[in-house]
Amino acid sequence: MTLRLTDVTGGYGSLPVLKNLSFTVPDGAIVGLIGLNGAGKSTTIKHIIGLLAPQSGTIAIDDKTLATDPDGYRQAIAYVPETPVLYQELTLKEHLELTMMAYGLDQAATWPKATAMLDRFRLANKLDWFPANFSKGMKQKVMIVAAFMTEAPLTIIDEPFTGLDPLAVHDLLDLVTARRAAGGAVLMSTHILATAEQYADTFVLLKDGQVRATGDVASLRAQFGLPEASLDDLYLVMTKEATHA
Amino acid sequence: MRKLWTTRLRRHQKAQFKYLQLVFNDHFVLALIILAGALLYGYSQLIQQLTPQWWLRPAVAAGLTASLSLGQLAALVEPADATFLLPQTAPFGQFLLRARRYSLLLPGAVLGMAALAVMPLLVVLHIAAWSGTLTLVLALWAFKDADLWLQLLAHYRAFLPRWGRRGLLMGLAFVLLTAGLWWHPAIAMLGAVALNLALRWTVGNHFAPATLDWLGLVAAEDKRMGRLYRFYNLFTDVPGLGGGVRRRKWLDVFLPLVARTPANTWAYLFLRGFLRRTEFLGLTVRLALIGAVVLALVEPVWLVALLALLFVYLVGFQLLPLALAYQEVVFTHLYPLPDAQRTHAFTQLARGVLLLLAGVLALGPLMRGHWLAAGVVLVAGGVAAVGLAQWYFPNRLARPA
Repeated sequence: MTLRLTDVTGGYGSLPVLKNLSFTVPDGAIVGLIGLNGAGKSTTIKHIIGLLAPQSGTIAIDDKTLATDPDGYRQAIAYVPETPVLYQELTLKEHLELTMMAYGLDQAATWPKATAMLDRFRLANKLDWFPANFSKGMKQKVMIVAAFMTEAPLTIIDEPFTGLDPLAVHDLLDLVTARRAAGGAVLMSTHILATAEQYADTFVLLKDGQVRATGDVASLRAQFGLPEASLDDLYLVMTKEATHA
Repeated sequence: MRKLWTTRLRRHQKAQFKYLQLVFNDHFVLALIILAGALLYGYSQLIQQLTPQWWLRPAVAAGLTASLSLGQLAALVEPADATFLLPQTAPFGQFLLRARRYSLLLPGAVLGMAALAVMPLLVVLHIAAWSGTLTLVLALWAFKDADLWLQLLAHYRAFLPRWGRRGLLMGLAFVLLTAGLWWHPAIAMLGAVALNLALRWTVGNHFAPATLDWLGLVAAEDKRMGRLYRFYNLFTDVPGLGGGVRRRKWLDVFLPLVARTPANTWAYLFLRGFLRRTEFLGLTVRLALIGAVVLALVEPVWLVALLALLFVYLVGFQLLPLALAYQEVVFTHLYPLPDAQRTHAFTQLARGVLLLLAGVLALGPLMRGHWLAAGVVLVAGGVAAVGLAQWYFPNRLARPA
């Protein structure tokens, strides 16, 4: 499974936010999507999951696109949004049940996995709660459990660490690395550069809706000509470029 | 604060005017005029037969007290105010005082009309019509003024005296109005004015603007606007009308109606939405009961058929927002499900609910032994239900919202 963006231009209305964006997310890899506020991270993700349609260019998972095989394409994606959104009239248990139904998962086989994750996130005793009674972090955890439970080949996580307590961040990173070990692909947008540098295999650095650089830390250092730099340093260099431009 | 109030008021009035235009469209106005004419005729007939019996005075006083309780403080507060205007809490009292004065207008007019409507009853009770009505109006206005003071002060909780409750005021109003109808409404007026002045005097001692309960105020205003918009929603689409959710565990017995298979994903969601959201089930049940009563009282068969159609249409129209309720939940767009499943699941639910509604409506005439009328309701309601579900909803949902 490989997610491939080719020359994607798109945005809200006629104003393009993304300009000729191209990168790939291969199997068994964690890709970090890095950029300033407004660089186009969330817009990129919205294009991939199909909330926005590109004005030109293609987005494909293997050979499936939203136009040719919408159900197969969606089936391949699990998504954790930046702001947790839940159905206000469904209990925690019903959210997971609904997700299983939507993805056509076998309930008997999936529940043990879900329960294990709920235990880990200390939510197992809240199965009958409504989202209105959850804190923001708890909602985020529900979304994480629902997404990872599907074991979709591609997992997309938008700003995963905001609102989670350190213990939950740790647990989430465990889940992410487990997905990679199982051969899944993970695309993760974040501002927490130290964590990204530690866990992600490659990076996509976005600046003003364009890919400034891609690759692992070593190749990024080569591209910026800064052999000793950390991801943090590279990021600062990139932002300075942005203000000069 | 004055500028803030005037801009808020202008925006509020503009929005209300827009909705009122939609509510009072030509057909509705025509129906209202006919209804009002019928009511006035019935009232005039009733008055000619009335004799001053013991229950008449308390009954009239209760009616007036009920109309007195209508009309809430239109604070025109927005949720963001609790954060942005927090440092301005003390000056914000001026804003609320203006809001209170504005809130007097509409109930004042309603109470004036209520007093006019009572005028012929005063004659029946052997009270001088003009002086009686005039003093009655003043009494009602004084009560309403006090009531709105209490509503305003309820948000300054720390300084509200323990006896300052609306229920108590309404009770007093009822007693004074009954007494007024016994002898002369001037008694009620004197009592009301005394009460009002006493309240204002205490308020003057207690009003401390810095103790405003922002969150309570915002919640109360939210609830008031929510009610208003739900009313508008009976006639037209109100965007962004979000109701609440209740667990209603006892309704879980209906949940097995939908098998938990991937093909039923949307049906699973819609059924829970219908049962647990506050804006659908309650309304359906209320309209079903009102409809059954109305249909039991109506005689001509053509009117029965028309009303049955109308009730099913009204409820069906109210269900429509459920089909679009999940647009803002991102997963709605991500689930690997064909779009047709959503429309299909919704029309199925709507057809079931509306057919059930037609059945309940038919019970009304049936209770009075009107077999023919019950049959007509069943047929007309059934036709409307199936027509809406099979034809109107799929077409309406196919259009981009």
